[in-house]
Amino acid sequence: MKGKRILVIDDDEDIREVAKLSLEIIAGLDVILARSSYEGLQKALSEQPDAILLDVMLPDMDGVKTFQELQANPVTKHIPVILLTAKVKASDQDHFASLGFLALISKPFKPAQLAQQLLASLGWNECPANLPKSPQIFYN
Amino acid sequence: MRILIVDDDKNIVEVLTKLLLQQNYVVDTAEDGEIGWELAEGWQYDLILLDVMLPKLDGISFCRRLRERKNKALVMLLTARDSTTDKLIGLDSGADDYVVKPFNILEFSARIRALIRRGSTSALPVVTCGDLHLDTNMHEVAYQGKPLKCSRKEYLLLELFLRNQKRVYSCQEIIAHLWEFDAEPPNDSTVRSHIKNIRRELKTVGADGFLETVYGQGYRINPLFISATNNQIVVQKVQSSGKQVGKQEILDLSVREIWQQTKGLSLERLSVMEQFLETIKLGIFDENLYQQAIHNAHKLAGSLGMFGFDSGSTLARRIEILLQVESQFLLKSQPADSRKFVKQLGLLVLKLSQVLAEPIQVSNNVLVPATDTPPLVSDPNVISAKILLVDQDLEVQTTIKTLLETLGLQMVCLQEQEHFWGMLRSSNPDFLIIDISIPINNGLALCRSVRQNPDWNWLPVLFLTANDDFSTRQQVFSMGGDDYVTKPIVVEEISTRILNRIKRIESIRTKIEISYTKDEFIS
Repeated sequence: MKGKRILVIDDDEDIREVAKLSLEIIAGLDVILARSSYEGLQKALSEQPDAILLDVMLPDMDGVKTFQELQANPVTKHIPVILLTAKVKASDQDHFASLGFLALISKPFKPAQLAQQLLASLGWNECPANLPKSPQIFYN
Repeated sequence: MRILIVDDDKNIVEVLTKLLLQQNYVVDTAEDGEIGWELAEGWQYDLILLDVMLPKLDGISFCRRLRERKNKALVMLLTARDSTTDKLIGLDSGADDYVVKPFNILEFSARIRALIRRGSTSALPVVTCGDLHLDTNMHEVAYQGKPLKCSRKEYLLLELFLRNQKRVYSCQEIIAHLWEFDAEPPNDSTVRSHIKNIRRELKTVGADGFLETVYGQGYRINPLFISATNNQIVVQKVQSSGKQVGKQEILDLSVREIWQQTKGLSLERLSVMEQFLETIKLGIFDENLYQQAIHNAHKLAGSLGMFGFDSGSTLARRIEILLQVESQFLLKSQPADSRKFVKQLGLLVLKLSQVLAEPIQVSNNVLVPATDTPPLVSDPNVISAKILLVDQDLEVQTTIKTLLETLGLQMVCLQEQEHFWGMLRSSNPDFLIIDISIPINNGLALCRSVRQNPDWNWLPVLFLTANDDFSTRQQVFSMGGDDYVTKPIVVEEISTRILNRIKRIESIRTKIEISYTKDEFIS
């Protein structure tokens, strides 16, 4: 996906770096990194990425609140957000659907799978019309 | 090339400093482990020479700490002791080589050259950029065959640019690379004056504009002078390894590299759990430590599987659940059950530490794509590399072959050098082991011809020799050998040395593959 830019917000250096490699090498995306919610919100505003991969457990503000901040700002409201979390239960699906996340990817993920699941959730690997209506959950 | 010497023996430091300065290295020194550590943290060294018996922080711990902090400097241990166990401890701590004191100065400098050459593909003896050649053995620079006259600092400056051909260096960065730590630091105008001299010399030989100024940033090699042939050579080398470079393989190799860089983080997380375990064993419940242990178990559960440690993620998850569900209740209400809890937790933490202690497992299942293609490295204990062994002694051949094959390495053996070149081309090995006394010409001559062949001069060579005398050692290194092992062969020693070297080659290959193929795949 040449030219598409994705913002990865995660406080763990190893996860950030592996996600960056996966998204760059496998998906061909341009990756912007942020290590906290605050930095992520700043970069979402200044960089205007095409999508955001957001960790749930961040040191300054959790992923759900960060997402709500993004939604509350008209400049970042339209950016699709995929949640990265170590905790995914089937019952979470409705909860996250009601919040408005595009998809959920569970940790730990296999490096190549992350890129494939992210592309699938965004509909970037197929016809955009096929974009799923309810959030997909990827159990790894 | 910047070298740090950490040794409390002032005589040794003085002799080594003099020797290395003569050979155009930039040298800093420290007389104890702590000062050495401060320097190692503050500066980027290509090589650190570390005495094992150091005051304040010993060489082995120094080296371990360096590797934990992702410091990639080459390390050579200087040790007064000469038992195999000591050598193995040294190499297992992440050191790249060792020399036993007292050492011969000529052998020592040859070993340093071999080590630096091995440690970096950019540290080849002759560095080239287009028509400009810099020969580090002869300390000569020439453009289209016409020699340049330059001072020591100017030579070092050109070497710095040639080894990092796309990088922009500011005056301050140049000072940090090329001036000794305890020397009076020059100001920017000194650097500018050296640049001016180099430019004048370059102009004289017809390379006007070779070094360009990047406004507000510094200096770099004018991209017009960076010939495309440079890149082609490196790419050819990668391809000659016989491996298909695909996106997934690049990702696999890169993720392994990240594991090496960030492993310390996972070990720190583990140590928080170990700390918590130790305190509750003493009957102390520290709420803060408890929360930290849960947090770190959670983080490990979410990350280890990413590096192929699936069992590590599962264990960390079990620890997280055990801590959340049972600990407070058990500790506060039923001491008998708390012993059971401590035992359970202790076992899980121990298992997790064992999983993390297996470095090779990193390559396991790093990539299991959704399409269910088989993982690239199916066996976690296998390092993929092919070794060509040339030894006329069938018994030695069988011993080494059996040993290295059990470690998962592929072996090709030859008794004499008659079919050597044909076998080299057809087997395309990653590593060469030569017995020094093979018939017709000896092994040294064979090594020299390998070093003279542009297709194969990069190949690491380890010698097997019955003699451990000075003249043999000197010959080994002067003919371009990277290392030697004496017969009779000590199984643990030869395997540790070979595996260390192969791991380093793998890591270099990873870097080359990433830097030269990433653009192609991303675009």
